[in-house]
Amino acid sequence: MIMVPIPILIIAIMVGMIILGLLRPPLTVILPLLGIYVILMLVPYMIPNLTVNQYLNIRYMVLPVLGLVIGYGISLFVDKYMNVNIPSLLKIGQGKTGRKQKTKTKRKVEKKPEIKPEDIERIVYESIDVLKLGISTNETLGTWVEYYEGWTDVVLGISRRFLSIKDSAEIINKEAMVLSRIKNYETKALSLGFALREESAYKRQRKSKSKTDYEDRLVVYVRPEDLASEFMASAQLMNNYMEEFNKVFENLVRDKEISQYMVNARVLVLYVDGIPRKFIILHGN
Amino acid sequence: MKLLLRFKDLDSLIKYLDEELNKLKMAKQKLEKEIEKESLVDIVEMKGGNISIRRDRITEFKGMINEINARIEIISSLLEELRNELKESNYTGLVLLEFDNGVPRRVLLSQPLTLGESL
Repeated sequence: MIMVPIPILIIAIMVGMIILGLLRPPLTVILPLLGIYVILMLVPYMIPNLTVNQYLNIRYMVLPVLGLVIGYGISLFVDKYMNVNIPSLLKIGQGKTGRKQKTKTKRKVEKKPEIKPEDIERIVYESIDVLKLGISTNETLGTWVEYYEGWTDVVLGISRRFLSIKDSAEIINKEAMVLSRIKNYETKALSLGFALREESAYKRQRKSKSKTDYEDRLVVYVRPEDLASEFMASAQLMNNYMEEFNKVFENLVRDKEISQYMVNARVLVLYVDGIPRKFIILHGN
Repeated sequence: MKLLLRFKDLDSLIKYLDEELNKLKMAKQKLEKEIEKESLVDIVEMKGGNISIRRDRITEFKGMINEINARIEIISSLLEELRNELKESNYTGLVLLEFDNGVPRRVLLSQPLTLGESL
């Protein structure tokens, strides 16, 4: 029997078990390994004449288990608090544990697309780009771009948008009052023993689709009186928004220099939070 | 944050969405072309009551392409569902376009109700 210096054997076992723990293999890997270890330790008991190594004794069983636990613990901790997934870092767990796990992770990806590391950089840069544009919270009608040829068309386009939003805001303002009155009326009617009946279109949609499907729909039927508070909130928001829009628009139209400068320009109009904020003048063709 | 736009009927909503879609597609095409060329542009900016002009590369607006794409996608699907849902007649009840955090999300149509005796 070749004598291995004892500390080295112990250290080797511990290091091995810690690494194993870090990889967080499934139980089907851990149990057989521990089994082999136990058998190895039981050898001296089964064959009394054979001494393998004094540290390969059942009393030292705690060492490999401890190593495994430490490794596993570190791996979990790092994953949770530092977002470093050691098993995937070491590229193990996909190859060795076979197909089963692969299909499992695949199914997970389909459900909830994970962000690949190489995508993160791109996403970060894109976010920085977006921030640079001055998009703050993306409120009201959001952020988008329109293209016009010539200043007259720019002004026409913006004023048309302004007017249509203003119309909508005014109607909503009026209807908010009516709707809250209807709501009151309905509660009274209900207390007098009348009930609300849903008419055909709504019923049809509800019947034909399951509930979750219904919630995912882009076109939904609502009871208008249920929207009373949303109408109110919308009207409030719209007031401030229209004020700001109007201010920007007036500044723009009144500025003689700008209008002269842009007479025949090709312009990309950038709306930020629903308000035309930036005008990109394109040169050449 | 939610915001509602009110339309007088379904046809005008569809017309509105169609127009938005065309504008976005046109703007996207122009923007992409200029970004590809990395052209120099003049940027007129409205901040508070002030107007500023500076010359810069259009590439700083690269991020907009994603915003536009997202909008094009949602508006297209809204239009598609609207056309499937009510192809027969022009709906004239309450027609609302709901914006959620600046993005058009859903179309809300009023559900006609009648009062009757409770059962």
